[in-house]
Amino acid sequence: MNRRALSLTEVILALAIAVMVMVPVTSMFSTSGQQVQKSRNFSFAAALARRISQHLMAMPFEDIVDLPGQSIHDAPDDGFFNPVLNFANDQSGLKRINASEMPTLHGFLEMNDFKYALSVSNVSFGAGDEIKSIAIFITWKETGRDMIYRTHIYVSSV
Amino acid sequence: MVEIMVGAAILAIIGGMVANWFVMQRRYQKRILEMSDAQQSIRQASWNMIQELRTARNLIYPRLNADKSIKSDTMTVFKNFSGDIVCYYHYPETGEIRRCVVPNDSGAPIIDTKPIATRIDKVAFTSHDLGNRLLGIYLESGNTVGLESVYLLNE
Repeated sequence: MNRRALSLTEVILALAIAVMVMVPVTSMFSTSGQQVQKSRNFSFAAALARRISQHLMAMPFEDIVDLPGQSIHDAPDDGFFNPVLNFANDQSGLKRINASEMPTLHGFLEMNDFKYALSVSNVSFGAGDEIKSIAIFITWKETGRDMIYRTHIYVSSV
Repeated sequence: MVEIMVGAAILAIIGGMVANWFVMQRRYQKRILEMSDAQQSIRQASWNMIQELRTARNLIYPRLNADKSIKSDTMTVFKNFSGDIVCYYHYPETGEIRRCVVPNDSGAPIIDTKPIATRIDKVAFTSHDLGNRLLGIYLESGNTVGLESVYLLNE
C-alpha cells in the first residue's frame, strides 16, 4: 500500500468534516438575513397601525365601525390608504396603491400580503358621551407563516 | 501525471464552488445591510419629524386642494408650539431631509446644520383632512418604504 497518497476513506472523511463546518456557517448567514426582513416587516406593520390610529382621530365618530380584513394594495378607497398621494392641484393626480401608480410600495405590500382589520367596541356613559375602544390588526405573511401586529386606541365622542 | 491533473481539477471545482458561494454571500449580505440601513433611515426620519409635528399648532402647507382632494408635496410647513414657522423639505440631490426654522420674533431663517435624515430617495407629505390636522408621510429608501401619519394635537 502506498502511504504517500490519501485513501478514499480519508478523502470522504475530510469532505464530511468540511460539510459539517460549512452547513452552520451557511445557516448563520441566512438567519441574519431573515432577521433583517422580519424586523423590516414588523416596523412597517407598526407604522401602518400608527397611521390608522392617527386617521381614526380625524374621522367622524359615527364612521368608526368594524372592518373585516382588507388588503392595503389594490383596495377600494377607504380613508386610510387609498388614495394615498396627490401631487396635482385637483382630483386628476390622485394616486392609489396599485402596480402602475405606486410600484415599489405595491410590490412590497403584495409580496407580504399586508392586510388590516378593525374591531370596535362602544362604551356609553349616558348623556351622549361615548368612547370607542378600537383594536387595530395588521396581518402579513412571512416565509409561509401568518404574522400579526395588534394595537388599541380609544376615541371619545366629545 | 494523470493523478495530478485529476486532483487539480477536483481542487479547482471545489475551490470554484467555495469562491462562488462566498461571492454570493457577500452580495446577499450587502443587500441585507442596505435594507437594514434604509429601514434605519426611514425610522429615524419618521421619528424626528413626528415628534415635532404632533405638538405643532397649525399645518400651513400642504392643504387640501380647492376640490377637497388630498394634496402632496416634498415639503411641509407648519407653526410649532413656540410660534416659529418650521419647514421640512427633501433635497433629492443628496437624499437628505432638512429642517428650516423662521423664528417667531425677528431674525433670518435658520437651516439646521445636520439633516433630519439621509439616504431618502422619495418623500411625500400629504394633507388628508379639512381641518388640516392630519398629515400623511410617505418615505422611500431603496426598495424599503415607510407609510406614516401624524395628527396635530395642539391646534
